[in-house]
Amino acid sequence: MNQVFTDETLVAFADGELDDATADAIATAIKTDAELETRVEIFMATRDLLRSELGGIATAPVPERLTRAAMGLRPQDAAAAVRPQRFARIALPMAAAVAGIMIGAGAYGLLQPSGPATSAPFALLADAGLQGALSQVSDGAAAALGEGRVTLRETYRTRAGFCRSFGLEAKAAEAGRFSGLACRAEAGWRVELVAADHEGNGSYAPASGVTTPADAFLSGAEASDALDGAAVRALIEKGWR
Amino acid sequence: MGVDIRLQIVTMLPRLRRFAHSLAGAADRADDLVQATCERALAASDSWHPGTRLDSWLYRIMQNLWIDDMRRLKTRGQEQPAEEMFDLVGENGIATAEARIAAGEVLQALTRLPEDQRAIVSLVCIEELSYREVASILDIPIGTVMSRLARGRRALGVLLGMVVAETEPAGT
Repeated sequence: MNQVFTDETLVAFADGELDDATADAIATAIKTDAELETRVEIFMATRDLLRSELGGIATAPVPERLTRAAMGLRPQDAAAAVRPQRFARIALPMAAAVAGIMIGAGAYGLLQPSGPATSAPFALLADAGLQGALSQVSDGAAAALGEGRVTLRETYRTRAGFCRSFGLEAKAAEAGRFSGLACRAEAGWRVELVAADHEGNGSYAPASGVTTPADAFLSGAEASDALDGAAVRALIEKGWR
Repeated sequence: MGVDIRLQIVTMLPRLRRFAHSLAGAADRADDLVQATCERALAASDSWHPGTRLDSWLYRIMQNLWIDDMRRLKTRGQEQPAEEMFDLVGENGIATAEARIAAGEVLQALTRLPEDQRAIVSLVCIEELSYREVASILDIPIGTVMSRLARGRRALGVLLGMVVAETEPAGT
């Protein structure tokens, strides 16, 4: 006499949500019960089909209007720079030319990468470890993040406070590399901008005399020359006061 | 300093688009649903407690918005979802059916499920959440999740031609 299993039990079996004892009982029963096997196969096949047909949507480029919505930018907000003034004049035409992502404190607007967009830079920026790395890691050193790695590059004293440039690498190589700039504020580090690094054929190559967004920001913020290693270590020890 | 919720929402966008797609059935309506979800989430950001799961919170907001949309659409006489399926008998044609399924057919079949089954099927099978997580997001008992999930996937099996439904309801 074949055991009776409800559909609820069988779907849980198909999804690995069943306790071992019941799962073993079903696995055994399937061997001699073709109808049971069919019922389980339907649950498994529908799950596989749903995942294979619709799972890929999560790898598609995200439309810019959704990234803007998530960042709280309303459709009518233009990519207007607030300060420093010099950066405003440099940055806007630069923003159009650079095929990268920029995130200001809401100030500089958002662009989408020209290539397949991923959420990689955002996952790295949202990583709680980034704040710690900016506070603790010396220039030239790197720290692991959940989804990749941050490498600290240079540190400057500016009108916007201490600012540090850094590189971000996602674990998934195809997600690319990013360069960013963060400045020290009361409560922590604020990422002022992030741009995708471009390498390889057909990538954006700056024309001579054109500065990168980070350079433009630092120029507008009247940045000092890059601080030396000893000065940065001292700042780290003093908690950036 | 906490991580800016906006950055975290951005990291969720691909998954939110995927869930929205399974609910709304079409790319532009799906993206409208995502946008509305982002706006609602930011407006209500105080009600999210850091340390709790942001994805669950966002899925719930989207689900609620979508239910509201569906209610509005129903009053305008939109196509009704597929009827409750009867007990299944028939040959095991699953493998052949799978081979024959055209692109878009799975999504179309999904949109023919009743809303309560559709969301659960999507959250379990596509978003790959556990039954417990889905029960928490939708605020329903885990047993209800399982019964709607089973009914929904059986219905999909019939819609996709994997099995043949009986012509009479079982038990009559």
